[in-house]
Amino acid sequence: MKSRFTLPPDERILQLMADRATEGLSHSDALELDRYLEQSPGVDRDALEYAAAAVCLSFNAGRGEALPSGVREKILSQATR
Amino acid sequence: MPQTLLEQVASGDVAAVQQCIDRYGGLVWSLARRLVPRQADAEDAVQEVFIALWKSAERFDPSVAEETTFVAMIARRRFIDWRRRLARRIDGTQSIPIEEVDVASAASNHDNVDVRDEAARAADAITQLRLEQQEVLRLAVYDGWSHQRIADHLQMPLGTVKTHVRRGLIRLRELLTSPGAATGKEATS
Repeated sequence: MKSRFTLPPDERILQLMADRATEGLSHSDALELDRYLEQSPGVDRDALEYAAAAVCLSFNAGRGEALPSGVREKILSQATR
Repeated sequence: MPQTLLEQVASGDVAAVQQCIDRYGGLVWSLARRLVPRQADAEDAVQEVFIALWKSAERFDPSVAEETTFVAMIARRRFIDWRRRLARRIDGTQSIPIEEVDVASAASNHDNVDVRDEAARAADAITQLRLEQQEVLRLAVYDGWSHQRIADHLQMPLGTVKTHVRRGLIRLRELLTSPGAATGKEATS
């Protein structure tokens, strides 16, 4: 795995990335973040969402539930259509 | 180098699709049960997650994140969208009537070994965050609380909650992408 990642220097943009990773963004905030990220191709746009995913994995450890068979069949059917 | 499961999915391998559902279905379902209020919505949301996963499989880059983390990220993204859509539908605010999920009784540890390994690595990293960052991240990410609700609950200014979320996530990403990640260093942020 890459040992470095690039984040924007702007605190406002970092906060928008953190907000997106936790409670989601309003339409206007999402547009603002998208505009910034489009102009900043070097930024790791998903970095904080990956971190949030890791938080989920950690606290969810040992709590995995079996996917209901009906849901599994629907997913499989959609995938192989 | 052997292909990851998602790389096989991206190349059109039907058997890999089935394996992917078997490997990650339990993880995605358990996250849906925590973050999407109603069972019927959770079922629909999980289907959306896997459709999104098939579409984004070719974008998966194992040099950026582990496959399990990628799946959890895609799932969370969809669940956050669901919650926001639902909130708009209900009353135009961000409040959602959450059906309290009895996770303790529902959980039966269907995590597979890949999920367990990645969860353990993440847990090691999280223990290196400051305690207040750990608590705020658990509430914001795993329990799906709004920042305002956390601020009220912890009697902490909203700006402080946001700072803990932002710095905690940045520090965690640093820890998880460092060589020898998540072993023994104390967090400084």
